[in-house]
Amino acid sequence: MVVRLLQYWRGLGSDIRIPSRSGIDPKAIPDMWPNCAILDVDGKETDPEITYIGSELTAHAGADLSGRKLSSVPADTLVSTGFSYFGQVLAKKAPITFGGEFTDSRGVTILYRSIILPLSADGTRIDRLLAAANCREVVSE
Amino acid sequence: MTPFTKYEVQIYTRGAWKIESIYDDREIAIFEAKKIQRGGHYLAVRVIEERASPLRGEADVKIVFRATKANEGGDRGPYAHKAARQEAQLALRAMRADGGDSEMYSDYGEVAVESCAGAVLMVLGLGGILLIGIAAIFAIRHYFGAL
Repeated sequence: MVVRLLQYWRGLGSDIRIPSRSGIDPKAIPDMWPNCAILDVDGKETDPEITYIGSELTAHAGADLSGRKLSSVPADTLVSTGFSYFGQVLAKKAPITFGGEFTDSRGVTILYRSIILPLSADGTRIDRLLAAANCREVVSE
Repeated sequence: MTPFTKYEVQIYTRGAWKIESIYDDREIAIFEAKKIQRGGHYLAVRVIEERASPLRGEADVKIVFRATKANEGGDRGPYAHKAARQEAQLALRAMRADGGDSEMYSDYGEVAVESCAGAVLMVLGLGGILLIGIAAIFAIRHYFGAL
């Protein structure tokens, strides 16, 4: 999913122009959109606001996180852990994908992979982030 | 969570290196770099490994992959024109200046030599054909003049 979303994002911009939020068409990425979130970083560079969150991410969080600040999301969730490096995307002005594992509130180890892609209304200044993550539980033997 | 080792895919565009994307996996980073290279939109692409060293408070940086598309197509390729060739040479110089380990390295300089040799052969060939033509004209004129 991460590589396909990156490919989609690349197709919307160019080497000098960052794609815009309005360019993202959920219908073009129907299988990935439930795993996506849009983070508003315009004037909120240190603590983005979640303006959209997909159904899969909502299910993992156990609550609708729309309108909430990222810092208010519990630390042992996919959204909080998977999108924790948003600051690096703002600093590098480039997509970043990381993976890892964390232990959720039930004590279950979760393997995840996430990606955060910059978005810009004017092609240069980042005002939104397109983030996506998926995960699976690690089954202990 | 930030991994200790990151891989930056960088593209050479408009006379400078630009970060294209960042990964925590070397194989994915090199795979993406090769994909970008195959796309042919950029003169050069490289992958920088950045290994954090918390004890020293800084990162160890090295190039783990680099390539140019400058030699694609030879004399008829996208880099056959002078301006493109100059930019490709700039990209190559920038790569050489950075050093590092390379797993793949397309040297434009070698291609330039091949292109030059090809041009010389073509000129010699055309010259030969011209001489044969002139000789044929003289022979025909001499033959018909003798009649």
